[in-house]
Amino acid sequence: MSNITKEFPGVKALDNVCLYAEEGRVLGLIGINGAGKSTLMNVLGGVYKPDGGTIELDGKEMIFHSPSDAYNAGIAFIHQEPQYFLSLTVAENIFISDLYMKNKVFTDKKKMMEEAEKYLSIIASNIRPDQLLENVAIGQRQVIEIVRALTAGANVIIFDEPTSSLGRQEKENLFKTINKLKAEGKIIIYISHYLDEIMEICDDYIVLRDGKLVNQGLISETDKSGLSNMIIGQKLEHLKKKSIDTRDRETVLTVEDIHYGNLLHGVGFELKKGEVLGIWGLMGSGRTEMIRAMLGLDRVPGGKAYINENGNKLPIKKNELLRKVGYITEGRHFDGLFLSKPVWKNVTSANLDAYTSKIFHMLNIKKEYEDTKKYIDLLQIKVPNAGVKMATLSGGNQQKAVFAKWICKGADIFILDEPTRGVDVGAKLGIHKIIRELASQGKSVILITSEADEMVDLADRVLILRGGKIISEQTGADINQKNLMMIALQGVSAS
Amino acid sequence: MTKAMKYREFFLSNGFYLLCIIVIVIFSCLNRSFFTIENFFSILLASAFLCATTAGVTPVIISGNMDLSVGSTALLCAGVMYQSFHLGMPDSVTLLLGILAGAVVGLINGILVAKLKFNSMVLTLGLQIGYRGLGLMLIGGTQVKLPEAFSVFGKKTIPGGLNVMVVICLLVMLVLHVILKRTKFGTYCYAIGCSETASERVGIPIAKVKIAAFIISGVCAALAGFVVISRLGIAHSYIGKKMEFDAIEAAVIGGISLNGGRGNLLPGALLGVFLIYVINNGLSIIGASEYVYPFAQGIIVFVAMYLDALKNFRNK
Amino acid sequence: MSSETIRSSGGLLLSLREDNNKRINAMVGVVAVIVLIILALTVPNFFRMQNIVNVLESVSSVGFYSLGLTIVLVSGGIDLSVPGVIMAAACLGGSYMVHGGNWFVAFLMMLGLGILFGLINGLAVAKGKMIPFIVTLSTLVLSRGIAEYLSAAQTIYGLPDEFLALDTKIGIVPIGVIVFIAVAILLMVLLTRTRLGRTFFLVGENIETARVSGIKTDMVLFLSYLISGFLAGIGAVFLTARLGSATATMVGDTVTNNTIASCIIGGASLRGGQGNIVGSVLGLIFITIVDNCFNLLGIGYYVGMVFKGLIVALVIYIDVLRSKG
Ligand SMILES: Nc1ncnc2c1ncn2[C@@H]1O[C@H](COP(=O)(O)OP(=O)(O)OP(=O)(O)O)[C@@H](O)[C@H]1O
Ligand SMILES: [Mg+2]
Repeated sequence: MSNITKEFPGVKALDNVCLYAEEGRVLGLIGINGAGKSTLMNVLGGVYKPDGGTIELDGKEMIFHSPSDAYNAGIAFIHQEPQYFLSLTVAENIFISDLYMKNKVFTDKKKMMEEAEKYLSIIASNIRPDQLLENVAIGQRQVIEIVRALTAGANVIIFDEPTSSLGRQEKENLFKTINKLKAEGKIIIYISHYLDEIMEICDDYIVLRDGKLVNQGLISETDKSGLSNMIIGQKLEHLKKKSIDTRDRETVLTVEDIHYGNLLHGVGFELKKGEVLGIWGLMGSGRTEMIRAMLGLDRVPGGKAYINENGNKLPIKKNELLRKVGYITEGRHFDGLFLSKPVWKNVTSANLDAYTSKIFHMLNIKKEYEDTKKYIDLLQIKVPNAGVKMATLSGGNQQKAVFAKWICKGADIFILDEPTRGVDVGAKLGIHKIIRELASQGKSVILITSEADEMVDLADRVLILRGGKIISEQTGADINQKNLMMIALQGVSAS
Repeated sequence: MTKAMKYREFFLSNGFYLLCIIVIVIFSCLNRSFFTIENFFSILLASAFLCATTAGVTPVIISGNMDLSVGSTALLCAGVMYQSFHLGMPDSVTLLLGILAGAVVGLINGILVAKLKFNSMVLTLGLQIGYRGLGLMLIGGTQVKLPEAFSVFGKKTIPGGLNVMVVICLLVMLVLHVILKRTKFGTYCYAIGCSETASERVGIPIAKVKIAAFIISGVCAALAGFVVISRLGIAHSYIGKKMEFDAIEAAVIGGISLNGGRGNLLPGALLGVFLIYVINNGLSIIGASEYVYPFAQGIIVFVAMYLDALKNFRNK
Repeated sequence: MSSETIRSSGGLLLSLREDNNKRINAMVGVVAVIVLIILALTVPNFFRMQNIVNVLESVSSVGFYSLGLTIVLVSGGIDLSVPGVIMAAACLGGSYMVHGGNWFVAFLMMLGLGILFGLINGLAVAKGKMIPFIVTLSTLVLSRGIAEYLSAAQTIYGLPDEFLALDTKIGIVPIGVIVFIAVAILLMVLLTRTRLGRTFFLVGENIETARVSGIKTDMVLFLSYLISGFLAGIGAVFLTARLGSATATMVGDTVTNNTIASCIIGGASLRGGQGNIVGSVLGLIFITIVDNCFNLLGIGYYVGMVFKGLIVALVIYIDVLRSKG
């Protein structure tokens, strides 16, 4: 790709970017949120038409008018925000662009199931091919898109943050697969904010900032801190963890006896004042479902919640609890944002009461707008102004906006499900600081994350989910990577 | 506890079938001539055209669109067949012309929706007025008698006494069910209904599939028009009135989602059609006042939909 | 359509709609004005005062539907039941008055029936989680049935003078038109400036997000149908007063078409989360004028139907352009 330029109203997303990827090598594409990574790949994947520049594949100049053009040219694109066919089976989702046929007329469902099984087992074995996709947990769905790209036999494979919702095992499998593809001589472009991954899997790197190519080179000639310097242009200081024993503190929320289909069998916990309570478990262990059931978001029976007010333990209805907490959900597009509304309407949407007048319930629109600007600065959300539509923000910036929405509401209890998914290294540190600050102000935080680092850095206490039950509670120095992994995988602690 | 939950489960997942049975039992108790083979056949005969229309709109609905023009298309095609008869065309040509007219209407709707990205609901709601106007011009009166020969079609039966029209319409339903479930086209319909963006990403020929779905809908509507006029022996200006709504209602109470991507023709939509006609037939057999009809139909539809909503809500 | 409108990460068919909408709305405005000028020059009697008042009157009597529908569309639903509800309310009030009932009680009964149907629709959609299209279709059938039953398929006439006085004119403007304008302004403020208005938009755009954000989504949905039902009641009152009679056919088949089309011309979308009152009213005025010109030109009924179908189709092409951006 040479001299690619792309402008959106108000932003020059790409400015004369040249990218050269070689067969049999993995190219790492890195940069802060809003740097233009996804836009560049969307140009290559036929989603956007560039304002200038050319794309060449095997020496031939290509012009893509639609994603299917690019697809037919052998470019497979695993999107940052994947899209699925919810009411089709997993197997149909995988083979949709190339359905197996029995003869000219009929599809061969059986063969598809078998083949899907085979490919699925390469990455993640606990998804069944005959499952309807809507029954696959949101966090696991990305696997399907990856498998789809693998089966398509494409020559160029673009991964836009593929691991942001993969578990550890799936991640390892994915890397094995990528290495195999590499050996087969495919071109692979890999976008990620996890520098460990970039170091592990990539051969070359390219750094984008503000739509310009600012750096490139061989991975073997740099290291992690070198990469992170290039990305944010300055050194990152690390957040020092201070572990607090919160077990004897006042309880603010008690949850009992939550069931969820075959996933959870009577779990319960207590949340203490001013703590960060981690919920840890493998993919599909029911972490998210536990929260959704607790808040009454899915119609599942059972489960009670009590809230502590002035020393009294009072039962609380699920939907009232929902209104009391700040809840960053797992899927920002599904239930986190209003994509076609401007940023400011998103940020204030959970906190409309604060902007409503007593009489006539009029909204103070000016104040909404001004406050939003504050949060944009606080979280360094990259936008031309607070009035642009949410859908135009880059993935990481959208995630920051979800965070802003809940800070704006200012609840006493925060529930954060993968709060930093897709956020760049610098901004992640910022969010971590805010989370710690919330806790030290006496707010209580429930944290769900698949990243062991994040858990270790932030949590005061960790509950581990396995086989539908909370099997263990870890505190202090016991919250470390090795221990967490061991308990989640095998049910026993490392020590 | 678990037993109670099992009953609940059973009731929820089979609620719609239970409802059908309850309605039938009630009518059977009220009047003895309801639960007879003859009456069953007459219900089938009355509902045949709706089977065809419902089967036709289902691919459109599943692929995430809506066709509100089927009623008017039926009238338009009836008009075309009427005129062709008048011009002295042979029967087969007449039938063919009618079906062709339906296909053309479907093609027009399909192109406008798929290529020019019209909102299908408003488009067909608008064009439906136009199609009806054309149809009325062709028929040229509120009620015209068709030649004898025409109604011969409508009276043929297969051994066993079942009307040929009924057989044809049920076959249409069966064939479309198989197409939706077992072919590439069918899978694409479901996929597009689930997510157009995703379909575009994986290279599904969205426009082609949508156009094909609309053509199927048009052809089935034409067939329905043919069934109606050949059974009555007359063409009148009321042909197809509210047919589109009945078809969609049948599809929806049978569990086909108007948001696209979900639902089955068999047994869902078929039972939906029956339920509507069982109610009408039952009411007329027990001699209910004509004012009762809309109430009974409205209430049953409500209950059916509520059961469906309960089921979906639980599944989510 | 160009795939640039698809923000890959957006996933939905979204573009810079707000900006584009302004451009396209301006375009719609210009085209509408041109069409009107052409019509005014070619159609005889178009500019007679009487004709203009006629247009305004017919706008206002079914216009309440368009106001209510805008709100329902914004919150992501649809209400097909209103024509039936208007007729049922009219026949209820009418037959009550003809049998010697007090006009004011009749007035309240009409509003009450509207609210009742709004309640049914609202409960079914919000609490029962049923599909708006089918719910309101069923209540349309139901309410039509009620109208037929109450009127016994006859015209109800001979309404008391006190009731007919609702049709008096202040200057040359009938009371109905004034009430319509007042209600429209009220709803405009409600939709753009109040908390409830904002929640209509948010729920219409993404109900899951709204729920997680702590918005009482059931209540919001419920209220949108309630408002629509209430407005149907008001519409019934003024329509009955203007016509001086009530029948089970007083609201024509094309009203639903015209109203949905007018809202869409005005900026509402069937996908929810978009729409505004001013646009809907302007859209309705436009469609009504086109209708009116067909009458003045004396185009045959069937031919008129064909033309109207085409015009509605053309008009909704605007929605296409809008989402295309
Ligand atoms: N459709 C669009 N309309 C307007 N602006 C857009 C659009 N798409 C992207 N942008 C802008 O272009 C810039 C680059 O966005 P892009 O999605 O490429 O970032 P990214 O590098 O992928 O970031 P992230 O790491 O957060 O995913 C951002 O400032 C974004 O706001
Ligand atoms: Mg991105």
